[in-house]
Amino acid sequence: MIAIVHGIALLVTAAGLVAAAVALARTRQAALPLAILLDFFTAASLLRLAGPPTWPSLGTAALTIVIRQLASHGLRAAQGLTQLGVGHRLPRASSIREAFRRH
Amino acid sequence: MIIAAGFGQHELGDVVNVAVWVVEAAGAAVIFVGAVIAFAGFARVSFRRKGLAPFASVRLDLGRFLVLGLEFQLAADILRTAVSPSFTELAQLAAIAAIRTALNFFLGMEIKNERDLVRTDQATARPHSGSDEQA
Repeated sequence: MIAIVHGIALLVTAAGLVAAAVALARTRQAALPLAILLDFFTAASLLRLAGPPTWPSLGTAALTIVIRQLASHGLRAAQGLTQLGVGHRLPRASSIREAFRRH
Repeated sequence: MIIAAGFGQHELGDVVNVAVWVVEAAGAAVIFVGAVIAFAGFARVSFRRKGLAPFASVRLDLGRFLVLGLEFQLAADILRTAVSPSFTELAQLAAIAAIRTALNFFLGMEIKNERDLVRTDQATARPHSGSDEQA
């Protein structure tokens, strides 16, 4: 059973890669495809928990969930900053030089 | 105790092992079915609809399947500890319960965020729907 479950987990991982690639091609955004990919990776790691649990499989599942949270929070924060225009408010060096020249 | 004495611990262990196998297989099946449905949903949404809201709803469905599968796995581990629990088994059960709780918590948070995203997406997609209804 464990071999079958691990094979299924591999299938789920491959499905996640395909779904994320399709979503990336469709939306042209990084956050959503990454979230989809991590969702499928979480499913695969939970599948690997079937059978007698081992510490490596538990660690993998926990680590996947932690990475998923960190990545989604980081991307969401970056997206929020971009929407607020914070990334474009800092003056460029060329514009500062231009301002000095004028004065 | 009476049941255990009648069956014998060995037989009881066999019954529990079969039950554990069945419950774990059910949990794995739930997660796999959820992944398949989500994959089909992502494919359908990618090629037919626009906006982020449909993706969010498919992700929410997948999250619900994951939580349900994890519940089955937790049930299997509780069954496993029914016969001669060792400290290692109990520690692994605690780890799975912690993972499940964390996943539940984070999925709940994500559900809230995704609902907000869906509402925002719907509001931007139909900015004049309220005035149309009034007219």
